[in-house]
Amino acid sequence: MIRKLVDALDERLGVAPFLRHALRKAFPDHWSFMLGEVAAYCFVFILLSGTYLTFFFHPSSHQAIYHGHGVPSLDGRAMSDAYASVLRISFETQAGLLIRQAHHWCALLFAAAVITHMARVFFTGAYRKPRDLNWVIGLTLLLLVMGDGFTGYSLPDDQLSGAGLRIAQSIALAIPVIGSWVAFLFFGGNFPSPEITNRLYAIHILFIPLALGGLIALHVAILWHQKHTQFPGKRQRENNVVGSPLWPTYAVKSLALMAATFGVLLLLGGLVEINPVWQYGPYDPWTVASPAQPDWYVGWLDGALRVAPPWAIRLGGHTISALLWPGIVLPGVLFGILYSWPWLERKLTGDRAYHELLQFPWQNPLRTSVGVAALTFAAMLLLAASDDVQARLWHVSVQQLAWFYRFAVWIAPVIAAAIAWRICVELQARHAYEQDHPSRVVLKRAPEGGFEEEPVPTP
Amino acid sequence: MKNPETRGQVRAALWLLLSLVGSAAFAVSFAFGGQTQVEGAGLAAALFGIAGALITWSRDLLPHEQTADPQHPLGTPDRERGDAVSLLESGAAEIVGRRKWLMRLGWSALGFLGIAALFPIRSLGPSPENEIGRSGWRSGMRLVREDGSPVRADMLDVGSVVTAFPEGQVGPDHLTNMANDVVMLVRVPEQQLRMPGERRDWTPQGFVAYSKVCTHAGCPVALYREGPQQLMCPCHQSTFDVLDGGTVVFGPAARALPQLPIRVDADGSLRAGGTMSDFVGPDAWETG
Amino acid sequence: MIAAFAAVPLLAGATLIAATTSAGQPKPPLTHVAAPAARDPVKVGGDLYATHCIHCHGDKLQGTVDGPPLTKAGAADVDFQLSTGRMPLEVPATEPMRGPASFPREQIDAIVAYVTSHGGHGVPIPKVNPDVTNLTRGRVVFEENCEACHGATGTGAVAGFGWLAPDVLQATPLQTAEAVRTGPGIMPQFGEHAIPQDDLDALTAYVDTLHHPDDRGGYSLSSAGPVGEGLVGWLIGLGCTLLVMFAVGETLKSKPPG
Repeated sequence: MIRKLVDALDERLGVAPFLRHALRKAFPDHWSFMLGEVAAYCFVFILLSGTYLTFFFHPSSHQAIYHGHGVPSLDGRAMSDAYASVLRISFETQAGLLIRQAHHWCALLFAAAVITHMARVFFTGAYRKPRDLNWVIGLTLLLLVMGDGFTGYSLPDDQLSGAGLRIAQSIALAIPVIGSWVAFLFFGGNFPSPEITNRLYAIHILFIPLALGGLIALHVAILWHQKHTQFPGKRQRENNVVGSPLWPTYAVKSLALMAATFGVLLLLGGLVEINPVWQYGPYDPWTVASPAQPDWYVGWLDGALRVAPPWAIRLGGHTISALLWPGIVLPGVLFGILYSWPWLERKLTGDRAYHELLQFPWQNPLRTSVGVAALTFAAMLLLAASDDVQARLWHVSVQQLAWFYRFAVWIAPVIAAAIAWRICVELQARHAYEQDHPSRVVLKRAPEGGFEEEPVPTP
Repeated sequence: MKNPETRGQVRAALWLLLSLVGSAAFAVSFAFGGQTQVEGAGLAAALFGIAGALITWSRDLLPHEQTADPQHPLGTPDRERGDAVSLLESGAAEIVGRRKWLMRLGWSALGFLGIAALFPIRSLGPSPENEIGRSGWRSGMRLVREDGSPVRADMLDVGSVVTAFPEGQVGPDHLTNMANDVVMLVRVPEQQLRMPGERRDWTPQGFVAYSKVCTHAGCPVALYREGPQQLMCPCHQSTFDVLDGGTVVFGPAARALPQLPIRVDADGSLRAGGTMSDFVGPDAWETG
Repeated sequence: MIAAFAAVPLLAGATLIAATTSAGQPKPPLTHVAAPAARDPVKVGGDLYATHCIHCHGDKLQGTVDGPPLTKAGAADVDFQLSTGRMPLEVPATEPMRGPASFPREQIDAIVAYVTSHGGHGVPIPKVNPDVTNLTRGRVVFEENCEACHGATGTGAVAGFGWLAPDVLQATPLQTAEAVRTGPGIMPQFGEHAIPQDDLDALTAYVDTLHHPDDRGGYSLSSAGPVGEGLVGWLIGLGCTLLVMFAVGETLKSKPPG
């Protein structure tokens, strides 16, 4: 059976040499190298579950009276076709609610996997030449995942998605000079335009998935061509790649990970409720519920909006909106630094060499501190986005908590970076000490009699 | 089961049985009309079973072999790279040749094609001209509720609030107007008001109306704190003072809420006493 | 770095647990004044008032620095505050929170009778007749007037500067109606013209349905919305896949040279 298939393919394409080579390709299998695979499997899952949903979803803002079996308190209510079709998916389509929820969980996991994968790449220096190219592609993938998440969050036209879109439109308006044009062209008019659901749908199911698919293919092709990085070890050197062969060892591991990723998404999709739009209600632009949060991967931006100072600049007839700083400048600067980091680091350290071996985070205190600071900053912003939820839990003033975060988003990263720096330096010192004072020695008996001490390097 | 092979096989078999049970549970649930939790748990069990079996295979049944591939920089020797460069360059030179002015024309054609390709973008939406921050409120318009019923003075006791729109601008056909013209009408004790001089007669009998669209990011400023007389936005917690013209008390908003002057008719219905005091909604380049 | 990111949900998760365990602790029972059934309710209420209320609200309902005057409080006010256990306050001048009622029904009625007969002029106990046939209207009224503070699912939210809009999940239809008509705390009030009787009946019926939320999607995460979902996505979603990575992946076999 296998024989026949390979025969048939090889006669036409001459694939045998590639197969022979590819099947034995070495995959370094430190657990942290698999984070990116989770992201890739999330892409597969989100594509499959999303396709199922497109069969039932109606991307239309057309308002109609709902008469469904779903929710008694919405019977006879005017709502958009989009929202009504999400109710039908949830309550009248077999397995619809399961797939819808699993699809949404997948978006949350997708972004989490991409970010942890990028953090692994960052802290081990895997992005250094020649992999700076893939770092840039990876960052673009992250932006696309966030964009697809936000457009998906906006599609059901429920109370939360409407509020999110209103805020997005406000950020577009904040672009100096051309902001109003950008907002009006993108939304197809003043908010809330009847065009927007349809446009978001095209972006959500066509443009971004296509870009994601293409870039993921490129990402993996470059990875395949450049081969993996690996941690330094006894056998691991700059001039080799040590790992499990793709077939059968690594394939079995990776398939296990795929099955588990799909499994946990369906488990969450079935057992843990996510985005219950029937509870939030259809979007009426003049109402809003409290608390209102975006999904976590956009939450850091919402947090920035909450803690940003009200610095609008009035220029005699024109205004630079206070939203410009948290909504556009901050993410712009953050991603600007991330995109240019491989080249920034090269400038800072003068290290232009090829690197096939990874570094441990403690070996590079500067990079580790910068990364810890950036992640702490993002985490504080994310926390700030739920200040109202926290204020309720702890029964404190949400205004006071917002003031706390106004300072904490700047101070906490400095403290975290200092601690990270210290830990790196201490680990370096300990490592140097262990090199100088090996804990084990071997006694060697010389042929002529007598013993000689020989240090054994710590494993 | 001392033999690791046997042990591994038994484990993998158990996992695969779990998978079978899970698939069956899903199928049965689906056939009987479907139940989200059973379906999810069933499919998850089916997949976790396969994952568990594969993990067992990987750990107990397959050899832990390691292989090593050679790794070397992908950059090619200078001579080869130089060949590629000179091929590109000579080809480019052949295209250009001595046709300098033709090339210039060619580049212009491409540039103009690019510009021409931008024109369809204009079809995406109307011009924002005069729409940014625009309000539909005109002097004399009656305040009505979402269902079109007029707001009357006797509707609101002191300490009450109601969401209002301009008359004739409500219903599914007016969503965009409703989204931008919506106001919060609050009735406060008259003696508490601290309105700036020119707004003194905007608040008869303690009726105060502000745009419900936050000047920060456009969310509805829907949270009315009755005692302190503040309006708060649940999205980003910008807080505005109802008593002194909607100034910002707290939060990221940089501009006071626009105020709508109110007039009480002889018959007790409420009307706009003028237009909005400022641009409605979030700041943009055009909101001076 | 993973730790740094994981710490975020962990921290919030810990507080979630802390908050749910600290909420709902019963108040210590108050010593009740013995109230023979035959006595005049106004007199019984007066005795109770003198024991439990007079310290903050004054002997003539005129109020003190610790509590507002009750001269404008009507039957609905007093009944709401007492039947939801908000009054009497243990610590004066703090935000009253819901708890078990400190008095049995007849004693609450007695205090209501005392306050209304001694100058408490305010909203009478509203009529309420929950109308389950008009949940759609009730929901519209709720979304327009209530959810900005109490949340779409009625679980409550912050109301600014330390105040909470409480959850409405334990409120009886009468208590809901009383709150609507009187506007306790910093809540605005909604009179009979703002929310007519029909709307009130629909609203109370809708609020009643929130007591048993429609969680067909599964476990509701305390209706914490995207915050809770983000936590679960990280902890369970990524957590599960991490376990598999640990199971099939390798750890470091040796430290780096030099």
